[in-house]
Amino acid sequence: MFEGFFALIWIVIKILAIALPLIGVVAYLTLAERKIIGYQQSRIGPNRAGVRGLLQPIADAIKLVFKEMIFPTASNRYLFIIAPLLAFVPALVTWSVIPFSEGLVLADVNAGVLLVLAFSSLGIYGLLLSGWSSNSKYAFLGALRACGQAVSYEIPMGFALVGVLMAADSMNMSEIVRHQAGGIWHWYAVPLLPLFLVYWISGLAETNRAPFDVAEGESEIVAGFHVEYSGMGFALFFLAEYANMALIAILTSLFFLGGWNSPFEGAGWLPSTLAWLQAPCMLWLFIKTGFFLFLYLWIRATYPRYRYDQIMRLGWKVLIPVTLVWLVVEGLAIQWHVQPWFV
Amino acid sequence: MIDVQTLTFFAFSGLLLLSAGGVVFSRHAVSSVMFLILCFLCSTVLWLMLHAEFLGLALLFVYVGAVMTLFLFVVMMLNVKIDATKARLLKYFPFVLVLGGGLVTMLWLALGPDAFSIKKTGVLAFSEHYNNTRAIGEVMYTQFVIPLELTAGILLVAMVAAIALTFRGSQQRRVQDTPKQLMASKANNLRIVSMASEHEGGE
Repeated sequence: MFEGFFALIWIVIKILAIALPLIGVVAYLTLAERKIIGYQQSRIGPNRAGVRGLLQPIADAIKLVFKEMIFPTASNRYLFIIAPLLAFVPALVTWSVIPFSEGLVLADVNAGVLLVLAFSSLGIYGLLLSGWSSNSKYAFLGALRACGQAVSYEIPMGFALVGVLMAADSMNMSEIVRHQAGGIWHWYAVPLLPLFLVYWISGLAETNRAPFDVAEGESEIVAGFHVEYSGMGFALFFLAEYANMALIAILTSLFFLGGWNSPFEGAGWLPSTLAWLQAPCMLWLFIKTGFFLFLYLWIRATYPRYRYDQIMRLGWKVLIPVTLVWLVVEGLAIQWHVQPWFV
Repeated sequence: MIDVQTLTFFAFSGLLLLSAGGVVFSRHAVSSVMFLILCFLCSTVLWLMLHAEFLGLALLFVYVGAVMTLFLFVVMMLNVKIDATKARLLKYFPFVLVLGGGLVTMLWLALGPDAFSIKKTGVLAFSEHYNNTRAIGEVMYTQFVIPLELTAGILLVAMVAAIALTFRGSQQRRVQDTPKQLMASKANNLRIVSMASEHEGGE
């Protein structure tokens, strides 16, 4: 009886150990975004709250919590409140199957990849419902755009992951990382380079980030699906978007860049004083994730927004054919046991 | 003493029935769709309890992630008023009762507990190395490979037919010529000409 109870408490502690740092990362990712884009555009960025603006996320959070929530007239009240929750909850649930290091995972399920795909496709309901229940033209247009985009880009994303699970022969996330052990040439980004690029581009589109951010295109539809939200409702959409960004970044590192494996693994040329660099460590995963998060911001500061028909063209006529062709190539490589990846 | 599994089963099967009722009785089409999504989520939990991870998550991924999104998309655009149609439906109530009763009887005969020969209830136990995905894959691509390919063929035919029925040719569309746009370059779009200034010595 009490054993079950303690197991439950232990799980809750583990959940908090993932969720709280995640929210911290999300908060400081917003600051990093404003600072990095600021410097790339020869500005300083936020620098008033705290030393060099370091307290800015906290100031933003306090402002959002105390702001009044406004409900548009003739909006559907229940769905209007549920929508931000529907966007936020799947963004958190998916983190339960993410392994941070060998054995350091909340739920080590066999169908981990499938669970990630299933729950990341649930987040779209928050966007759709918020757009519809707001009873606003801009919000509705934004929701329709986001929906069409997410449904289209889920397909190349799924196919890219089919390539990964064909190579690893498993849908367990830890197993996929274990298969990439043995040095930088064993990472799946090498044999599955086209799938790696397709996954990253689809990830950008799935999270509705630049250059695929037509769902909130400020110049056309103000802010898209969340235009009528204020206060905590808006904050939840914001949290969901950045948690999803961090998720795509960490998933790309796990699937294609060897997760917690060291890039120096098996490097005989390292001096013996630096031999500790070869050990797999959680820190490697965080460095890779941080690089992809930086890439998100870098791309946003560099590229203009895609036109909507070009987004659809890229998804259906470029990315999907690329994945289909590469799956056949990979199947042949597995059949012929191409070394060193497909033993 | 009720264990966790029994509690989970009754909680989610109860929620499944309630949300199925919600699909039929809710006053707005969008709420009906949301209740249907809740239905799928509850049945996913029930399948997970049977260790059918792959089927449960595929249900979530395919139906909730893709099919229901498009469904919701259509329902939002239609703006259906269910209340107006309900009054008309009441006229057919006796007929519906007979039809519904017949359907339930047929389902009971075909899918009742006798037909499935359920010998025991409770949580199924599998060995540590049991992999649901692998088990399904092994059956699907050996024993059932012909039905699988046939189903895929039928779906492809249906898809081609749907496109053939709705495609009206290219003359009614105003689309960008993408290859032409991509071929555009500075060399064939921009011409630099040198000419003398029109106003001598400035204006």
